[in-house]
Amino acid sequence: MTVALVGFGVLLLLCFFGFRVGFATMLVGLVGFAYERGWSAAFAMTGQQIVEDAMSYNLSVIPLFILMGVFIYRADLSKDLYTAAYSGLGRFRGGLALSTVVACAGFSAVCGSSVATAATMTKVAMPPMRQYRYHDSLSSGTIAAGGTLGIMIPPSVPLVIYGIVAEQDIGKLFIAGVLPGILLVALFMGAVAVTVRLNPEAGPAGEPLDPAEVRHALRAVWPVLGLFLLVLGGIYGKVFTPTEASGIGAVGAAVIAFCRGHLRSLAEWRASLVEATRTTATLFIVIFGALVFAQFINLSGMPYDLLDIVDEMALSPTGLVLFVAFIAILMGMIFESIGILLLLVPVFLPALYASGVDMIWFGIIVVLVTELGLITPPIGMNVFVVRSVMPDIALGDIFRGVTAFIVADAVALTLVFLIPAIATLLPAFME
Amino acid sequence: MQTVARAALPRILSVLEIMTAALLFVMMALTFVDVIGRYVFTAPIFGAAEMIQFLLAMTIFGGLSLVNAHDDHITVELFEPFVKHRIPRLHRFLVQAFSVVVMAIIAREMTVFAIETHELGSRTVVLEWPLVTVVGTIAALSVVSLVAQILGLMLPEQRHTTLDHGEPL
Repeated sequence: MTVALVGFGVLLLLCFFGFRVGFATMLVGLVGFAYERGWSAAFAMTGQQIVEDAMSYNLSVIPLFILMGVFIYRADLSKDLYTAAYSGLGRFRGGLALSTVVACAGFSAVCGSSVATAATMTKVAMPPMRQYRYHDSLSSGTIAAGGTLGIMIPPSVPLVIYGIVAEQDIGKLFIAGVLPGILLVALFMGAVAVTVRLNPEAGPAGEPLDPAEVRHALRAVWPVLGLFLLVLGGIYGKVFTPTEASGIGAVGAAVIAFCRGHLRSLAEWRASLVEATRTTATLFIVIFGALVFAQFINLSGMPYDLLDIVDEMALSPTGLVLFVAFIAILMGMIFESIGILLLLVPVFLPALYASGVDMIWFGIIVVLVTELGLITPPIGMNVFVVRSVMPDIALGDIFRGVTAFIVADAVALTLVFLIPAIATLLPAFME
Repeated sequence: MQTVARAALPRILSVLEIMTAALLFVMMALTFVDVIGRYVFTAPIFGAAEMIQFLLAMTIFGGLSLVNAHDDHITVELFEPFVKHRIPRLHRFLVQAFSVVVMAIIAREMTVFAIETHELGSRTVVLEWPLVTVVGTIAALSVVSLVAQILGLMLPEQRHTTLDHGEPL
């Protein structure tokens, strides 16, 4: 246990001082393993682990969903999604912010990237909100928080990573994310409603749109909704494996982009495919590193020592989940979602299994926590993204703006914690 | 050295971009055609899952060069700005030397693995292709990634902050 704790300490230090996360986790894992078993075993394990993960059929879902996201991003759909949402919600008080939440949910669900969603929606939703004199804190906070919705709404890369680490069915995890995703959208809309009720000037109602514009937007949105339902429905009905669904999703997204006048040149195809490849490689180097590190942690016996500690403390399954979630919240203030999932989950796996915790439910809780981490200080990634696209907004304003959404996230977390069926109900029907 | 890097790196990356783009496209098309073949024509592609596995590995290692060349790896950046401000050169040296060492270990291990696979004459489970063709390609690509990383270091620091969808922030 001591060796593992030293390993974690060194790893955190390296990461904090700017060493690349993937390389740092890999080397600490390798050295730690070598300390326990010798260098030749450590090198062999590292090579074996990398080759195994690089050729994992389950992980092939990652580049294809990333590609689907890139195509959707290039299809330039954000404006139409926003207009479609506005046509239904714009006339209410805070309507533009409510529309932003819905558009963010729709965009991030198919795009899969919270950073890309926050940046895109800042460009699309900030100008109209400023035109209607929305307070910057409400508008920017809504976008920063709205961007995180895609982490829970499937298809979601963090859920895939959790599925790999915890050896859970990725299809079930995706389906488990549906109700919590809808719950989050509702709570985020509630957060906007409460904010404008307390301060009506923060978000006045908008004006009705030209019906032709609404029709145009709605026509543009339905294929995306159709693709989303096809991908999820296919997984739910066990018609496709998640990997197959990701292939269908990517082709479908390419068709949508093509029909909207994009992906018409080889150069555009090349740029999209290269973009997806780069993101994939960036993610995989962290995955390789973390799985090598996990081998060291397992060898050190730490997960089993923790199991004994949990036994001695007579922690109930819910107590254990609460404890792990608390650590994840702390980690979320510094690490992004993938880091938390890869570093934290393997350590507690044996204890969680032994306590009989429903691992699908637990996955949803951990992913909810990582979502929260994207908007909590000191490093709320999405807050910085909004700020970098709109540098004239004070960082403090955005953090003030996301407070209501942090509360909404906390409510969602509490609800899923108290009512596990929110996560487990739909996957149960897949049996 | 900088001249060599400036001349060689864009060419290497351009070739790799085309290669990885093609690999990922094939992966997408293969997955799609396999599903359609199975459900519409009751004729799935034999060994599609295995081919997808190989394509994934080659895409990752091809993409790694692109990421390494610009050092676009994930960082935490908690104390980094502070340290970078105080000791920029030493910080860059330490961080980059660390990354190069780890990348060299990866390249070495992949090469060792490829040699072992060749000596054992291992074949893939379903398609029964010589495994060394895949592992050997991975090894070669990991060596190229290391070279791209070193060449990237010879050029002025160009780590760019972009969205994960390529657009600069």
